[in-house]
Amino acid sequence: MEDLILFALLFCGSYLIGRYKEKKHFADIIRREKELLLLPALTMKRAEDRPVAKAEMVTGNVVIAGDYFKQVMAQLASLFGMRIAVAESMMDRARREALLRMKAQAAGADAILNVRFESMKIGARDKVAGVEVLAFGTAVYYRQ
Amino acid sequence: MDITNIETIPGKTIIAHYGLVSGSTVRSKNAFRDIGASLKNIFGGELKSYTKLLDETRQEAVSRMTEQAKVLGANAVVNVRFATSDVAAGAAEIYAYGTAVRVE
Repeated sequence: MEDLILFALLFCGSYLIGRYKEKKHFADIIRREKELLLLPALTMKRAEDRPVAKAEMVTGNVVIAGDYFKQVMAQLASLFGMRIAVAESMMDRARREALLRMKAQAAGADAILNVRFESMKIGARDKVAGVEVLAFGTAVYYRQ
Repeated sequence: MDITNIETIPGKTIIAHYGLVSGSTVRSKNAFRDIGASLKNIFGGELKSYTKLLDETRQEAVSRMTEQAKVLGANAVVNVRFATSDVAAGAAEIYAYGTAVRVE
């Protein structure tokens, strides 16, 4: 009985707090995406044929952990082979954050070329514990 | 040392190729107990200590790669990529590799 109460508390508590934290994070991401809108992140290797003054590699990484609620939901969904929506929002959040950090490192650049994402699972093998996302690319500064 | 993840250094000309250079770092997760603790963190969110740790590990792999390039007489590394692998339980390898070149 005590176990059940503890589970219910953890489940509901982590849902409410996890959701609040995620909402806050998404609001922050959207605000920063607007600020960095003028710095395009491109997946191709060359953009404009203009003389380049400087080019350097930039990276951004983030580790996001899933909450207890997400772990339970993921385990439930995988019983029935369903879409794991809670993990989708976690991945989206991590990728966008990593991209923003990469852009922040390229302050003053005109474009970031050949942007690539890499992700690595963090934590125990059988759980959705967390994920690391790395975004990297080549920032170019055109000659004025 | 110029580093890019495309085939050239925009604005410069490659005058010599020296071949593959790489650097790797293997870090175990046990050495950082706080990570294990924060993974149990039930409310989710960013694990800042882990973000920093992986960033430093990757920088170390890159600096090992550039050291190797310097030894060869290169002044730039192009087409850099990253790879990670689980070498053992609780340990991860971060590998950075690219092509060492001399540019003008």
